[in-house]
Amino acid sequence: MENSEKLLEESVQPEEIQRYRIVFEKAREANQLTDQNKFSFAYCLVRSAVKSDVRYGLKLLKELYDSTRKDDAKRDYLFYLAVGNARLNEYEAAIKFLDAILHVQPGNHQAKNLKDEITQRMTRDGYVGMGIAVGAGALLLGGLTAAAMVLLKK
Amino acid sequence: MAGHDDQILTTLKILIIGESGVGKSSLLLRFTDDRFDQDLSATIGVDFKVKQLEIDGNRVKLAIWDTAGQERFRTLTPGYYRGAQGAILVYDVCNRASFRQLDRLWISELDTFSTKPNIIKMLVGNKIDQEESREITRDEGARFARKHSMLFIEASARTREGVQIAFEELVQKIIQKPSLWENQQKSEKTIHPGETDHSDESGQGCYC
Repeated sequence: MENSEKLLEESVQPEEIQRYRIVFEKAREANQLTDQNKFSFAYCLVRSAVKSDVRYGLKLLKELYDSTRKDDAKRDYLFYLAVGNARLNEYEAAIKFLDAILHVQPGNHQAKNLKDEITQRMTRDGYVGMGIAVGAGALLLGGLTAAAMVLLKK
Repeated sequence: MAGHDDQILTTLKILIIGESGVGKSSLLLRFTDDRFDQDLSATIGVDFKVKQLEIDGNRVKLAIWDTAGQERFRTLTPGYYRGAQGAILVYDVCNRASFRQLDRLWISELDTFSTKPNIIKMLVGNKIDQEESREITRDEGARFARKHSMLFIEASARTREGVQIAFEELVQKIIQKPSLWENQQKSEKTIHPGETDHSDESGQGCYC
């Protein structure tokens, strides 16, 4: 549980984000962007205190998700899609991503713990579903989740 | 769970590192919950468990950071090394590549990112229940550990052999080196150059 809280509350320092941003942009300019440095940057962004960073991170994760065929990578991208959405208070979206993981790996305690933490927050904040179509946070959710379920299946 | 916080001598940060699939999370699950899960999924990023342990009459709280072995997370973990007093480096005795990677990657990662130069290291050769597929002899593991001033044990998360003792020995060695953890309570400025901790002769000292 402590770990899930940390994921939702701890913020990456701006300097660290900047460091990964530079690597990312240089690689992109040189046309040498790899999934690795794209993911490193996205992973920082979704844990930023700045909402626009989080949104950009979600966009990158979505691109990564769509461009890989590796199941283990897809699962990790789904997890951080959930983290980013939860940090934007897009709880329903976050839970759908986690459910996609749990559908394939029912015993995944990291996904389970994060889901529990988010569910608690929804109750605590009196969250009422307001749809999920907010900005870049809406990541073609239905289709994506369905695709995840198929693709993650062994 | 037992015991109150005021009886706790100190809280220690322990890292578990090594290649993907060597059994890092399984060792941790065996240690914290005494369970084994055949179908444990690969760790995402980093996972975290807390456990209390009683060593030589001292109660310590362990914050154990279980890191993903996958390459995807490699550039992301430097922050996790910060402040760790102990590290468990794991390989699979049936997988030579996982053993080689400790030398090629994980030890230098630890030396680069660890903020405590005299961090205690424990080498663990896991999966000794699969004796028929063994690729690394016990002797080879022990020699490697000696070369890098690490403690060493062979273990099996599946059968629980060696697991408890691996953690206990590591914690015991950390406790014997107060300079590793006492400064957390004191100010960082109170480190004196002449300060000794009576365990330098054990060969666990800094060699950076």
